[in-house]
Amino acid sequence: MKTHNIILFLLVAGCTTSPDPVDEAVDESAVTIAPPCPTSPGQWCTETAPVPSSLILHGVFAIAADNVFAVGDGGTILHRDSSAWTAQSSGTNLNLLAVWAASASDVWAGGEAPPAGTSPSQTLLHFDGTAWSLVTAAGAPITDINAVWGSSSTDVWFVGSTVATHWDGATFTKFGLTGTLLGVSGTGPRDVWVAGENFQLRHFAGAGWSTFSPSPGPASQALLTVLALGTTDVWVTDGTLSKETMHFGADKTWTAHGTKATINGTLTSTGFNSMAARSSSDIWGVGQSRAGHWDGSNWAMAQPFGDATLLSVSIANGNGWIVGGSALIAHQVF
Amino acid sequence: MLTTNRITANRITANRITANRITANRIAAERITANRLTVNSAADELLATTDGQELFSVLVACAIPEDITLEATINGTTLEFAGEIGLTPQWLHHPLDRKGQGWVSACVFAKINDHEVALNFSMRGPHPALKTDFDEREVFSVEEGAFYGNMFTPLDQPILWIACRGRGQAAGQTGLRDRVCATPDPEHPGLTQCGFFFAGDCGDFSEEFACDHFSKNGEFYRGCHASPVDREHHSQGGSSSGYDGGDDQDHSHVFPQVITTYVIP
Repeated sequence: MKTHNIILFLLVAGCTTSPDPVDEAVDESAVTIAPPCPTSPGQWCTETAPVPSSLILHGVFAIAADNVFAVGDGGTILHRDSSAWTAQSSGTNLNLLAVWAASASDVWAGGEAPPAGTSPSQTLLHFDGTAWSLVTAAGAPITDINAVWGSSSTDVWFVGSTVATHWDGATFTKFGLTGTLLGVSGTGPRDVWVAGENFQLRHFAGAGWSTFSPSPGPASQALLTVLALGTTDVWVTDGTLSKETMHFGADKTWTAHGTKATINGTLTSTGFNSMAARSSSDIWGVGQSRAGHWDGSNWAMAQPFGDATLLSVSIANGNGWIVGGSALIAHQVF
Repeated sequence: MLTTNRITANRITANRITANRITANRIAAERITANRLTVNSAADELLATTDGQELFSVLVACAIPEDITLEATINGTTLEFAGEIGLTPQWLHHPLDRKGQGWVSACVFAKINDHEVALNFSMRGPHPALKTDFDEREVFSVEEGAFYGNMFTPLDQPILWIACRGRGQAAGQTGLRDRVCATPDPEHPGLTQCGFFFAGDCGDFSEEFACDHFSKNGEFYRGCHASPVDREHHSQGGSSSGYDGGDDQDHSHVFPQVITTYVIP
């Protein structure tokens, strides 16, 4: 008989009970594994999509509460309207790793690069509101695309293996940066951050890239993602214990905020693969099998979806979605 | 300040290694400043492609310490490759010897992940650069397995990449869903799910096991074979009893440079 671990889960924004607000996250695990949707506001619930249950969904982006895209292995693209997820034809069977949209008729998805020597050599897709098409224009990325972010339809960044590529609405411009680039975020065309593995945090201010690692900045080179909420409100996730998240604040210094927590009796530390925010004091991060919520003071950690790997989180219009392994799609009305 | 944490992440796939081979020639050409050097032209072929550049970034991260950065100019663009772990800093100025090849290979193999999911993990082994502290051992508590072999084999020969299954994985502990390179592939007996040679279980939690020694203090394996050896062989001292990986003798039957990996539950 199939059994489920009963995972206790209840996240209450505003609770700050940690004895060490800097290095220790709050373990507020309570209740049960997330139920199927719909459920009451303020709780994660799980939605289903027409894909195999073993599929890995790598990326999610919410344009609005009734317009959400998710991408995953085997060229999977899913779209959610106000009530249900449906599959869309991508035209590729390569793994799609990231999705971002400037609008409902301007959506980008990217993923695993085709094997060397094959044609076409890109895995960059664009949705015009009607259909997805492969982008093979000159300069379009031919390496893995691990993350996509933009500030508008004429300022979009694609990052992946060693390369960051910018789309200005007409042309692609390539920047060689080395490493495995895993995250990109910013606040505008002159404030863009890139993080990655075997890499250092880099910042683009409109002309060139600068390495950004002020003491006691990111301590390792296993930087999994970056989230910029303001020019002096930036989060980076790090692999180092007690520095799992680093915040760049108004005083232009970095402060460590750990995610170490005991969940269901097990000591854990979580490096977030993805972060999304409703405000500077209402942020969600997901990584491994755990979700964390930042209330302005601490990370409250929980494991609301069993041992499924959580890979991406997106928030729009008071609604949040998380996707990951085992075809997981979770939804919360805040 | 140097950290003793050897936690890293993994995203490079096995086919990137297969498609981009490198020689053991020294990798630095000249020093620019105290902590910045240019890349030797021997790496030009590898650096000509983005896939090769990605592999080179992993090699530099494994081999060179975190206070050293290498520079290479490709088609007018200067690329930076940052050191991280520092297993073989001598590679900057000298060809990698057999021992160095073993350490760099084990590190690169440990960093491979075919699931395209970045995941922090802890690397441990009998090398000063892989020293861990109590916190790291406490949090990264699930033993995945061990990685060893040689990626610097002649170009006309396959890469010798080997993995054995660790105690945590054999026991079905959580946290390993997206780490499969030390996981046997039932559809391809003798290989792991990443295509590595599968050496069986690493330690004496199994009747037959691949590694002669397990350091309980550091929680890592030493002296691992390419295939399981029965308990009687190990009880007789194995083939590398007491061997600490400190020389360059031809130990074709046992691999002294072994990296044991751990994840968070």
